Amino acid sequence: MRRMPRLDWAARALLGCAVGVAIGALLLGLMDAPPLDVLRSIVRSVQSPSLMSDALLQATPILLLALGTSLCFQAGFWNIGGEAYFYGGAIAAMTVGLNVELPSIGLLVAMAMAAALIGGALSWIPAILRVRRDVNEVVVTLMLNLAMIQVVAYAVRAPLSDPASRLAFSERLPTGASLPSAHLLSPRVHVGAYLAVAIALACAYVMHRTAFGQSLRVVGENPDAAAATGTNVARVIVAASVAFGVFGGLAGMLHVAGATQQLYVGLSPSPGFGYIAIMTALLGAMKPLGVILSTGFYAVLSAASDTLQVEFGIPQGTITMFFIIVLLSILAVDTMMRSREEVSR
Amino acid sequence: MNGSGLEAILTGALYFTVASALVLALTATGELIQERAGILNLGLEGVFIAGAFGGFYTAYRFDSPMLGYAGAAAAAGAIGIMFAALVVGMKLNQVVTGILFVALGIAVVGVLWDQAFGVTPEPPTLPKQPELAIPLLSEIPILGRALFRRNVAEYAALGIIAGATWLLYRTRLGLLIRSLGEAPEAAHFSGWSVNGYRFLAVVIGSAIAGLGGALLTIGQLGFYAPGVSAGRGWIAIAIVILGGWRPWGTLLAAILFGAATMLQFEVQAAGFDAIPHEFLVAFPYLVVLVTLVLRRKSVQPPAQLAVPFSASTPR
Repeated sequence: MRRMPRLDWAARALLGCAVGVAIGALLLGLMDAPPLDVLRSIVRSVQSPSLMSDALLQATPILLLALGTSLCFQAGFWNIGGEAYFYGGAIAAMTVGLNVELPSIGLLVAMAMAAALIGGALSWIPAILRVRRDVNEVVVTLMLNLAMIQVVAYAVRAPLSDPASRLAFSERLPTGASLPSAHLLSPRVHVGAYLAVAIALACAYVMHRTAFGQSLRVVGENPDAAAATGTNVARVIVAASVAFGVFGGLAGMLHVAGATQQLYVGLSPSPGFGYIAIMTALLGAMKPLGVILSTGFYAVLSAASDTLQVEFGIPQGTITMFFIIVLLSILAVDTMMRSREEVSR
Repeated sequence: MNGSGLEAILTGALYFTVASALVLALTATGELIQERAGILNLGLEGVFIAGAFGGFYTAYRFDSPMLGYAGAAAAAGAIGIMFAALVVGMKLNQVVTGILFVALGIAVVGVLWDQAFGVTPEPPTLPKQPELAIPLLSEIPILGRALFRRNVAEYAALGIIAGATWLLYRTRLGLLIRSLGEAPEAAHFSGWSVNGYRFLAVVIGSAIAGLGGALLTIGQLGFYAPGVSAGRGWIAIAIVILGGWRPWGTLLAAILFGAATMLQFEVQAAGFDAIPHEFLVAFPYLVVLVTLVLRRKSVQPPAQLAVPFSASTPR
């Protein structure tokens, strides 16, 4: 199974924009919404600090999950367990935050470590099953996602539940367990946003400037050749997967400690941060800088979606549809251009 | 507990097991046909949901279960055509395309659901499908109720599963399909259109998987709700793996998961609350994980599964 990517960076970006505009206009035409008015409405949303801070709050966990997804997909390891790692991290962070007495900084660090540990442990499972028992990682990670949602439902109903609330919400974190504000746009935006971008830059360095990044790509392109030339394929896959889990767990911790202060079913809103991250990772060509852009793009559209629904009656799911159709179009052109290259060679 | 009480419990348990197993087996059969032809359709969950909703909607609007099943097969078949166009025609990566198709299916059905029933105060329902008791056989204690007193669609599902098995192993077309997954160049050099028949296998397999979704919503539940599939499409993919890519294995694995689903509901219904009910809901997913780990490694997938075929591909 070959990896997809290629197409030069700029060509891909241009193509993406062209395809996106064409498909967006088509979808809007189908829904009787004048494209220019919709565009104006989106631009108005971008100028609204409150909507843009919403966008940043959503983009933070999505970016971390998309980076992890990119690491795994680069290595041809189709790990789609982002939802599980996110929720695992959120549960771990809440458990520590609600039960441990520590000064604020220490508490936050403990929460992050617990979240990273749980996320990493969960994501170790599909990797070890794949390298030891040749078990399909897509099915395994999907089952983890489905199972973890039930664990969240249990956690907020019983051990972490708020006795004062009859709804399925956990208790709120104490102020000491809340992330400080990033002083960006609005006080709601937390420092996790900076952390996510810093991790993205670190990922970019690892992917493009280190031997590990090189071996990721080699394993993804041709695992047999990688093994033959001395790359430890199993170790690369396990490392990429565990990194994904750590990022995902951290995403869950940052989201509860920074944005919501509590845990509930649907903390990762439909269609789920983990699944959105797959889309933005692919749209960003699985390169950290590209992923920053694509995640930002998604978050802006998503933040504007309420307005679009009210003003033009555009249903919420349209953005997901739009993203997937754009992605499939880019992948299609990508694949065709590559096969033409191969033929002409 | 007296004898008749136990019999009632066993009867109910077996009836429920067969109900869930039929849905899973039908859906898995749809995937099996595609995988034996060399196409890994990970979009099965999206196909299943399209069939579940498309079938329910058609049956509800036209007040006809029969039309509902036709609608399900059409909706799922249409998704199959799109999927095949991308992965067979344009040779896109099957894993990525499949994952995206699940999200696409969920998004499209979500929007359609909102448009169709979003403002309805009462969730729409279909009448319960009449059962057809087979004389004499349906009188057998425990087994009779579970196997010989079911609705027409459930018998038809069994018929489709048997028919697909017959097609795969007893017909020339079946032999060709199986060769597409193992040695497509052999089929190619014998003058068959590899990608043409792979396309066909994807469309037929998707339509069958969509019927699995409709069997759940029209034939068993009588309603559709977002999230109703509860991952059945994914479990069906696991069933194909566990069944060793063979029809009988698929059926056996489906019965295992039917029993796991049944157990989860029975334990809940019995009011046994030592185990939190959320963990019971997750039980079938854990069974998938454990059985995948314990599966015999000697059983291999079709050799060319998920490998695109071009006549000019150098090998």
